[in-house]
Amino acid sequence: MARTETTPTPPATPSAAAPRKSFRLPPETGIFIILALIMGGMELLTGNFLTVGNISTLLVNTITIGLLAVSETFVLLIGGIDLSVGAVQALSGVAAAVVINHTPLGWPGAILAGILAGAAIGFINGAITHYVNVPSFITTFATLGVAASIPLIVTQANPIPIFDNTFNALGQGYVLKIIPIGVLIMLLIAAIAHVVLSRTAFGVKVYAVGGNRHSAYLAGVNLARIDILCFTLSGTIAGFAGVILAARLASGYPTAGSGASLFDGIASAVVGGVSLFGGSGSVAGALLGAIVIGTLTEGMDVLDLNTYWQPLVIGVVILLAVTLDTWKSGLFRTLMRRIGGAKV
Amino acid sequence: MSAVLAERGGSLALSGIVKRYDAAPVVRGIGFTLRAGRVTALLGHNGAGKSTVLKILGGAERPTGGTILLDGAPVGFATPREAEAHGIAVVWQELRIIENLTLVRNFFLNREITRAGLVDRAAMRAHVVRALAAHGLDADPDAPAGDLSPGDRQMLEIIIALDKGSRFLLLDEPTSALNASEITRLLETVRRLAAAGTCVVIVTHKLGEALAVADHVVVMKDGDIALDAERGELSEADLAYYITGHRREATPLAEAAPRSAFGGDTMLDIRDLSAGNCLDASLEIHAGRVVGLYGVAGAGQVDLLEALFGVRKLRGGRITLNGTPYIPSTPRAALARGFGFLTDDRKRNGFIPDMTISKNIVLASIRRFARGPWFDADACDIQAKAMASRLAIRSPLTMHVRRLSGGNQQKVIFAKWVTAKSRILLLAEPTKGVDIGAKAEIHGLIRELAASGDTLLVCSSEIEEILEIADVVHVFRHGVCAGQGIPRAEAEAKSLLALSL
Repeated sequence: MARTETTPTPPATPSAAAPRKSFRLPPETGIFIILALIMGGMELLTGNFLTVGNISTLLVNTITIGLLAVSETFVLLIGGIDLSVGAVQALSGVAAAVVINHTPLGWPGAILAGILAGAAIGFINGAITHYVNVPSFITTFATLGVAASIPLIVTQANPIPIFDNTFNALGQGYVLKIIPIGVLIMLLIAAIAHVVLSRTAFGVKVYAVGGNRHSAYLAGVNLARIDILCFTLSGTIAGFAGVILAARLASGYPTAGSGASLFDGIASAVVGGVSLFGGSGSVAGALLGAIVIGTLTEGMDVLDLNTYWQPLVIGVVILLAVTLDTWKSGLFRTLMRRIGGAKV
Repeated sequence: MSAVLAERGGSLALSGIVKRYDAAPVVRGIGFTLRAGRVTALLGHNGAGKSTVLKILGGAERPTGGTILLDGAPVGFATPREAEAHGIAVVWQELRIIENLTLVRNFFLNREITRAGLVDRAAMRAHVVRALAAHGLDADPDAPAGDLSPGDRQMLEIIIALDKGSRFLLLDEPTSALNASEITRLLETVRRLAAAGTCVVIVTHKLGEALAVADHVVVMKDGDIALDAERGELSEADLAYYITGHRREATPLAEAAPRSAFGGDTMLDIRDLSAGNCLDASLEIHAGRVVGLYGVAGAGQVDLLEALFGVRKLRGGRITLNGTPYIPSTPRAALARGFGFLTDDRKRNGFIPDMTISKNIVLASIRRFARGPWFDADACDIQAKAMASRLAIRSPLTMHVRRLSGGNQQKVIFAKWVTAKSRILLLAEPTKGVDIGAKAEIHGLIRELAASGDTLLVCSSEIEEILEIADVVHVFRHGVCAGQGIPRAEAEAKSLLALSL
């Protein structure tokens, strides 16, 4: 009988299980490095990419997609998806234009109308998804159709011009002559959204619902409230995006946010590390993701790259960014072990 | 004798196996030998390294150092398929049966019998019928595998592994999801396979099972071998000693001053409650007591808890809580009346995996950890620290709960309900899949909560657990509460078992 023994030691101490305490980089570091690399690369290629004027243009071009990324984050975090945010832009832009041209409410009424239009679509998305228990992919695909059609019906596909200079300043004005007002609004909304999700009890519940819906329910979280609030916030922010876009174009544009840009918000958020399965990611990451895509677009314009190539490049970059992010999260290592035992 | 066996059926030996993931090795140069025709029990705490050893043997992980010898010749497996090709199969705790495919399709998954390039269904079906009959599994080969009971699924995986020609069968906690009769059948099967020359390794937390079935026992502790011996005269107490490193105290709980089974006020009065499998249950629950609900899996006792917490629809019955009617509609309503619920499937619905320990602890009472709309992270941390020291949660509180051991995950869930000031805790299999050290701690905690006046309803399919912690036992059989309010002093394992079957 072979009997080997080791001297028994006191009960399991933390030493074996506890990881070493170390400084942890914020999870957005990865996407930030990617952004820095792309900007550096553009600077090398063009020699004059990182100028104040160019960065300003780049940010102005990122306003819409940045706001959509922020709006999408709320829904992605609870494990849903919101396909309607692009169409909501058209709806809210046209709503604002109609109010400013046909009512005495002026620019404040127009802004409010645009935002409320978005909030209404978001509320409908949330209520139907939650109470009818339809996957949000279907609900929001349906409301995408509704929100895209109404502006076309109302305008007969003709843009409605807006002549109110105060309103248009939202998209065209500058603070201190160099900082675009629209960019400021985008950053402000993103900052508020970031604080709401990271520092409030509501935010904790959002992550809990996305992390494990059933566990959150058993812990007494009011799922209906969280679902409806997240979709409504998503619609509201998309409505903001529509208002700013209308101000920039000085018109309510009934086909805004259609076509390839439909998925820009989702793509930005996911590139920025927001999980498609819910429960992880941040507004800061999503915004950085949007700036990455904005920078690429801008860079390719500056480089005068054939427009047929641009979606291809963006597609490749999205794949790279997501792969890198997954690799960072260790899933890649597990995967490699599974398929080949390779050392990573 | 072992030399003869080795000649007859071969051996599988580990020698100097080291496995490290980061800096710290989880397996520290261990070795032991598995022989044909014998059953080896591999025991140890969660985190002791036994799962890693299983993964190495099954080809799911590569060792950092050391060698694996198959019949004396060194081998290496890069993938589970390669291990299988050498006759080594692992049946994991999380079964790999695909639920919506039929038994036949599962059986031949990825190795279908073909004729002229087409799947030969008749031949496959005939083969499966023979294999099932040979092992006494009475199941419809054309039914979806998801229709099988957990025990039958396990058996199906074992039969599939044997059908692939496996000589070494490694079972990862095979009895954790089974009821008493299924466990008996599984252990009989293991003995039968060993008698027929197969080498079986069984990883388990249940010491009684290990002693009942094994010829050879290996205990791992902190990545080393603490014991490698013939079963011989080993007792459960010996095994517990090698696993934990210290003698179990003479069960202080059972020896503690006897507590009356009733006493205290009737806190919860359940009349004719029907929900799920539970039929017309009437129970009177007294404050400050641990009430054991014993029965085999699916006898209705867990359904009763779910109904009380508002997650299972009541078909009938009345509930009175502290003298006022209680209608469990949602978990929110249940929480508001002081209920807390620890489910029997913590991975699926016990916690938020990618959230920190701290936040998981305050989740059910988040309103108390908010100032206005703001989440009060400081108050949350203070509470989490207090809970961690009270419940001995020995991991950094910023760690995600996904990464904790089963025992620590379970403690976090306890901490959540204690933080929510739940006075009636509904516990479904509170020590399922936790190691014996954590199990003792959880039992201690249950007694402590009862001593402080909380009421606990504990479902367990382990008689020993019920006898260890409960003041009073109710036995469920086929949904009916068959044994009503048996005080612990009068409860015996045999009579409880008889009532439950």
